[in-house]
Amino acid sequence: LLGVDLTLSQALAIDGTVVGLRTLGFMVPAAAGVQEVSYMLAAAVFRIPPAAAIGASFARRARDLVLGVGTLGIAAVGDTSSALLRLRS
Amino acid sequence: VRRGTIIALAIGVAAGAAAVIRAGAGAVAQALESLHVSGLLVMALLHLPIVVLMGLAWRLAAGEDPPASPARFLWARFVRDAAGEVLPFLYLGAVVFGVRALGRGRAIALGVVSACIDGVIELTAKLPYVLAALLTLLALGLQNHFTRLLSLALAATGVIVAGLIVAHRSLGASLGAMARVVSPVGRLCFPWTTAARAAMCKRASIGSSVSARAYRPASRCTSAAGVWAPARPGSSSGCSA
Repeated sequence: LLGVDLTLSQALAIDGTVVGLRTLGFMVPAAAGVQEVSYMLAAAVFRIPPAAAIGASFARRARDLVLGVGTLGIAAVGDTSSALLRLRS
Repeated sequence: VRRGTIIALAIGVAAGAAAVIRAGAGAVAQALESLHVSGLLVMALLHLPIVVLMGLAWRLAAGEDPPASPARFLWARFVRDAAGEVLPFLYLGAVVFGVRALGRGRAIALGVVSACIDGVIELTAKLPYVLAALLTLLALGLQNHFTRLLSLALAATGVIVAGLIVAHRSLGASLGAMARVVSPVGRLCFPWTTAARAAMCKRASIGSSVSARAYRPASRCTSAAGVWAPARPGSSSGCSA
């Protein structure tokens, strides 16, 4: 989908590297920047263009944002409605 | 949010911006455009089984008498991940959100303990995965500058993870303190939690976490598939997952 030829073993190597480097940068909230640089470095090993690597990282962030905002939104609505119910009773 | 965290966030954002500038903002935007909404949807769908496995693993880490249903643990895991990715929190802040989503009273107390155990198992599971990545890099024969750099970084990760596993006892104490701040019920329950922690850790980490560990490699392999899917697969697949 990003226009990159990638085998599953290469994907395993890239994802494992990103997981490792994200763990190394545990002090940075949401691994901001750490994930992007990790993808770029890991992809460079397989001569994948940096733009595609950062695109993959941003796509992952977009996925997390979509799922995260949806989840936190539902949680907030649930918390508010249960608080209102407690107030009424 | 502590000042150190804000500084770390600023450095991270600056590094990310530098990476985008180096790669070319236009080229990055073009790569993202080629993904389309359908690609994003595929990525989100591929991620769901990972969260489900993580939620089930968390429930198994809660011992023989979990404080909530599997569905509740799944939901709490979703909230935990969402807080970690969307809000400017470190690991502990996200866990506090997850524990709050688990329920109240006993659920908070046991949620804190099980999250502590779950976190240690998660860290432990990362070690073989990162090692597999390193071995794959070396097996593919890519002995260049980047491989050496990544090998060093991954080795450092291994050392840090091992250190964190050794220091996991203080993690439980920190989680408990944060849970007390978040919830008055958690404040009442935490003395019991502290007393029960030793027994829980013995029971859960030896018994249930054996099963919980089984979920981790599966979720990590699914994670690799999540990277592979957005790319167009090449002709020679060396799949070992």
